[in-house]
Amino acid sequence: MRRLSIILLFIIILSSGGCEKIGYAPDNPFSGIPTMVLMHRGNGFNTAFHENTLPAAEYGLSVLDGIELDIQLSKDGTLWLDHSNEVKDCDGNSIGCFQEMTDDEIFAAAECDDTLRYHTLESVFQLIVAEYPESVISLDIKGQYCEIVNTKETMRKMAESVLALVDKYEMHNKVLVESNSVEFLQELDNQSSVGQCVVSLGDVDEGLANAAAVKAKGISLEYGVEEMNADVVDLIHSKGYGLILWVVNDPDDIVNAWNSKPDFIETDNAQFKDYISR
Amino acid sequence: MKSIIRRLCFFLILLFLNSKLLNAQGKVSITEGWGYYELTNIGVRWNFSEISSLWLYGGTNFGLNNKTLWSAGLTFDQTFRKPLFWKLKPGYSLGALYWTSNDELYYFSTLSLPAMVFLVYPISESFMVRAEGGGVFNAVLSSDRKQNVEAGYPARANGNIRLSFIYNLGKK
Repeated sequence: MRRLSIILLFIIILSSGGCEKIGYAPDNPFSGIPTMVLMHRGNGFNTAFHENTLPAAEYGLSVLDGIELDIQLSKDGTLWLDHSNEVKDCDGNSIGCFQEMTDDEIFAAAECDDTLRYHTLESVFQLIVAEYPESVISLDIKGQYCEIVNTKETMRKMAESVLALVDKYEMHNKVLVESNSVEFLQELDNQSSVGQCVVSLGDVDEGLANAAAVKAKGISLEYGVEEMNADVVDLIHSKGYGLILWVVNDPDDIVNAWNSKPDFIETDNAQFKDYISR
Repeated sequence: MKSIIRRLCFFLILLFLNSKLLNAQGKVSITEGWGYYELTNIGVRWNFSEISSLWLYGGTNFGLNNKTLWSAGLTFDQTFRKPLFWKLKPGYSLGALYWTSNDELYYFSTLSLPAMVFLVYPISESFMVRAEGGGVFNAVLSSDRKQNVEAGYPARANGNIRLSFIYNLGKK
């Protein structure tokens, strides 16, 4: 009993060492970079291409400063492009999860009407290195909701696969990753070749708190969650973080987002630069 | 928030006015104390069994340090029957706490879930002092950044301590 009382007293005393109720980010000025505009899902609004495919990526790279693509991981550890965690047949029926299927199985499901529905991230890296060496690519790392077993391990494997591919094609400092997976971001916290950004579904303050918690280099913020202007971006930069804004399509929003001077803007609108040059 | 505090005060006044009836049943205690998240607080405790009670309370920091804090919470606790030694009885409490913070930088309203252990010491039959320690898990309900110089956010998990004085209305 005396031992229990000592333990309880210890817990009570230990609890008094709590942190501040509200934590403030320390100043760590970052000057930011000239804003780059990325085509959302490769093709944006252009329906001539299927989103998150190699042809869509090639289109986006030819129009803007870079592209944003959604990423999945196969059972073989290969990174594939798709927004959905499910692999679908040509009729749109689910035939399995990416992380449960081999590359051969995904490839077999990819061909519909003589066109490939699924492409690997490696094919896009090959394209960038060969034809668009100045372009950047942002990888939206999707949650593995299709199969919930070993999700944390899957996210760690995705991070390892991204780093391996960046090293293989020497894409250092040209690749961003956007994720809200703690495991994925923590796997990248001790490297400098990939810019890891935490996806915030809340406001700037929540995003900065999350970025600090997972040691991310920036925040990926939905445009319109809070009023955006150059002062807000300066605040984010003054705390040492970069900013990706998504998805900015309306002409007025494009002008406002551009004038805010974030580091990256994702858009579906191929005429983006026409609006800011007027 | 003001309406919540107004309702809480009204509830406490009603309880106080009905204390004779409650005295007869010996089931209600009045509390006052201080907690890191609960602030300087007053409350009422309904002792619905020999070892279990529900505690409703409200607190404030009185606007000290250029910051206005309010809190209101409901806590369930259980006290073990057998004293550890020297009349000290252990127990635990779980609850929900709504608190707001308002200063020149931010307004935050936050829901917290405190999980605490405690030691309670009876000074007399009707008067007890209780020391608690544990942790809170916080979720921000709403926030308003009033400037673009500082960036802050409530800690998602934190330590918490509180000290309470409990006056049992049913004991003489």
